[in-house]
Amino acid sequence: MKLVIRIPLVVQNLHALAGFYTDGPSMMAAYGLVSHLERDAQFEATGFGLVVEKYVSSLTTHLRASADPFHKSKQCQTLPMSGYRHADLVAALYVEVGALESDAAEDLVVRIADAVNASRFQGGHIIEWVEADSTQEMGIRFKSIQDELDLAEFILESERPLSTVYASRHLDTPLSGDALLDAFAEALLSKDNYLVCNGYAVAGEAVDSQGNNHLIADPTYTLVHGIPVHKLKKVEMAGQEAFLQNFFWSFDADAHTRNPSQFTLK
Amino acid sequence: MIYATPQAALAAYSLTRTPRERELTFFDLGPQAFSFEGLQKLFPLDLVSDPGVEPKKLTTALLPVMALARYASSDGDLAGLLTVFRELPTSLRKVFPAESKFAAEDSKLIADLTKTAYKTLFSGDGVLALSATDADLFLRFAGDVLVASEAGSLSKGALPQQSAAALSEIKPFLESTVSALTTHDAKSAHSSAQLKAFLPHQVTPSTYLQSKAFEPLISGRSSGGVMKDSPWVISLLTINLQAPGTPVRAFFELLQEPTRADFAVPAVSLLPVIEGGGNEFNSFLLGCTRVKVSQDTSATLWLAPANNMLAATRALGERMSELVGEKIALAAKAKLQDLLGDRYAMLNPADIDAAALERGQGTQAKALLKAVNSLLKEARKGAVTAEELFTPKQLGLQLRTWVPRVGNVGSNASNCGGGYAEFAGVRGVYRFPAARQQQDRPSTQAVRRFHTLEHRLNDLLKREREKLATQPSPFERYQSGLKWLPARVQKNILDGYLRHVKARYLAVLRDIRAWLVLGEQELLALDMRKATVLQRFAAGDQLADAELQLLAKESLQLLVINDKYAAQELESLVLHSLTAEKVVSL
Repeated sequence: MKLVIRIPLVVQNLHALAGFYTDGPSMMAAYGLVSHLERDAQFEATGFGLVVEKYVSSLTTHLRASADPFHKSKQCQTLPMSGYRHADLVAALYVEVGALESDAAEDLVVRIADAVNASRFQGGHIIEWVEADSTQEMGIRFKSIQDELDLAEFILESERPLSTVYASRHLDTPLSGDALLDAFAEALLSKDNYLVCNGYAVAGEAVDSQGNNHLIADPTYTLVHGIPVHKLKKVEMAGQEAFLQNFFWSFDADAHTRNPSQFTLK
Repeated sequence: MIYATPQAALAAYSLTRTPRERELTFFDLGPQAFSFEGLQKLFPLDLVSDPGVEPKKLTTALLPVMALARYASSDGDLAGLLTVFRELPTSLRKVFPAESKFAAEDSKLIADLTKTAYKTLFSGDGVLALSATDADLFLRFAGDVLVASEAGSLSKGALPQQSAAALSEIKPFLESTVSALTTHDAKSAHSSAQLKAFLPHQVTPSTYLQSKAFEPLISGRSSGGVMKDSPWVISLLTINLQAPGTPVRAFFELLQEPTRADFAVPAVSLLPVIEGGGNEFNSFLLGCTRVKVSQDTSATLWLAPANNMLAATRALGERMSELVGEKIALAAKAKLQDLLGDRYAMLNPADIDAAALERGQGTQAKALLKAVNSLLKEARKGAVTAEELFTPKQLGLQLRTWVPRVGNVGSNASNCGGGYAEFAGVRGVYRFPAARQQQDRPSTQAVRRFHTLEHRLNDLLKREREKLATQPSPFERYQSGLKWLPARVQKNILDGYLRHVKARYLAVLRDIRAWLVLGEQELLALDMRKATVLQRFAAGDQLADAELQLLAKESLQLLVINDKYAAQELESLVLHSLTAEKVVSL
């Protein structure tokens, strides 16, 4: 028996290219938010999942870098723009915690609501006020679940039909070079699969002119099987189980132990 | 070949280096590195105990080196070469006793030979295949020895004349390579010099897409400017490492550090990409993404593009495009077989593949469509369109056919290393979708405005012309006697008027640009390849000079004076303003 908490997120102006090679939410950013909540709301999560309802990015339009008025003679030119590519996101974050009494769960939800309202996601602002009252539209809901079927039920009653459930779809066997590229290319050709940043490996250090240390990291990517909620509704129970088996993500502690510079999610 | 296997060569190589030697690299020597004393520290020898002087020995010592340098092709050869090089000072000092007049030439000779070897190794297609260990050895060695040479001052006079008799056999070869190297030095003093090195043995299979699953790729290029006193190897490699300390030292340290066994080479392949100014890390110049990992703001993490990941993601994007082509070709073949029946055999399958890659847009697709339609006509069937044959959606294929490429953030490619310029280029990095994009309907108003820009321009120009016509012309102020004014004054009056007209025209262009507001959806909906010059200008595209000239010509509509000079002057004034204000939008 586990408690799953659903936190609604409406994020504006998040960094669309936070995963460097990807345009969309980064699982590492979601993990960042979860660990932030863990610290601020004092609980321990065993896993987290993401359901994306709406994502709109602007890759070809830029934000203006300056609000200064332009000189009369310069008004003909293209406005200076920042390279920051922004996006808006409506999503729900599912956090899995151990079994809790209902009173304790309600207290936890209040703490989580406070923490969420004070945090950001992937560089963007969480613009809708999240409430602890589960009857509200932006309220945090929770449910005790036994297995994937309970989870499917929870997702189906909370999400809209066109939302996408992010289930991990890691490769089965380790590959390298062209074989790895072929496997990813074949998978990414399907519109249901996405490439997400699931971590990084620290590669080196650098010092800037102020003498600050910067860690340079090399991003790591994996595949996500995006399952539309309406599809989840249509499949039978066995299908739901198969779909949601990989719903929860967690920190890959084994890989980190094997190689201390590697921080990945599985 | 001196050693049977590379392992044997490496074992021998490691034996030749004492721990003291390992410690004493040229970095610790400072200014001494350029002197014979510096070399002597690097290669400590007991010159007194072995004073044998035999010119024959020199030849015996040098010949295998030259042979190896000339024919080195495999890793094993290289290892052998390195070993021989390492032993070379010993051999040389056995031949020449500790006489200072020879000592100076020792270092010259070593430098020349090293350059020869370097040149030989990097000749061909410019790619050196090295195993990781060999690369370490080679780079360390090359760094050690080349710093001892005086870069740029290499000339034929540097050849050891005194030992001409002994070197008579290899002198022509030495001379030719030295001259080749002198030319190469001159080349590498400019920014055209490029270097790539593959280290093929450091690949770790992974279930994730990450740089350690691909062959590490060191890439560098020499920066612009004249080579002054920088060592030759650094100029050639120009790996401006953003790690603390001396660049090349950090490079070696990264290679050596045992704790980074897995990541040392990705680090190396990554760091040359992030080449800012000097040794400092400047995130604004680089294509890095900042990630906040902790509350501690003093430590920030940057996701940086590694050379091999840039190459790999580009390959991934291209592979996806190929796969789409293959799937479209298969579906198109099936469809054509249905349509044509027996006549399908008259088509060449390779043509269908080529046309599928073009998605119905290119010449091959058009040729195929023509052939198919003539066959269909013979069969008394209706014609097919390119969309029906090559659009995945029409073929019932649910494929992701397009991955956006976005330019580097806050940077231009020249600020980054050679890897970025080569693998991302001006079109930018592939950004694979991590979410289903919400498609909003394009604004019909904006699209309509886009297609009626020419009319809008004509309307605005007409209005301006009428306005200008109501104002008194500068020449009307002088009812008589204008032609009696000096030519200089007449020209000033005319120029003032032309500047006024230019300003009005630019205002019209500005209004046009402000009038057209295109969002993401509209830009996706419009086919910018078929856009006119005005449409592209209004959409904020950068125009070529010839296109700007076309735009400047339109300003003549505002000119009410029939004068050739005035027309030319106005056009050039407008063109100047448009060109001066042309900016690169990334």
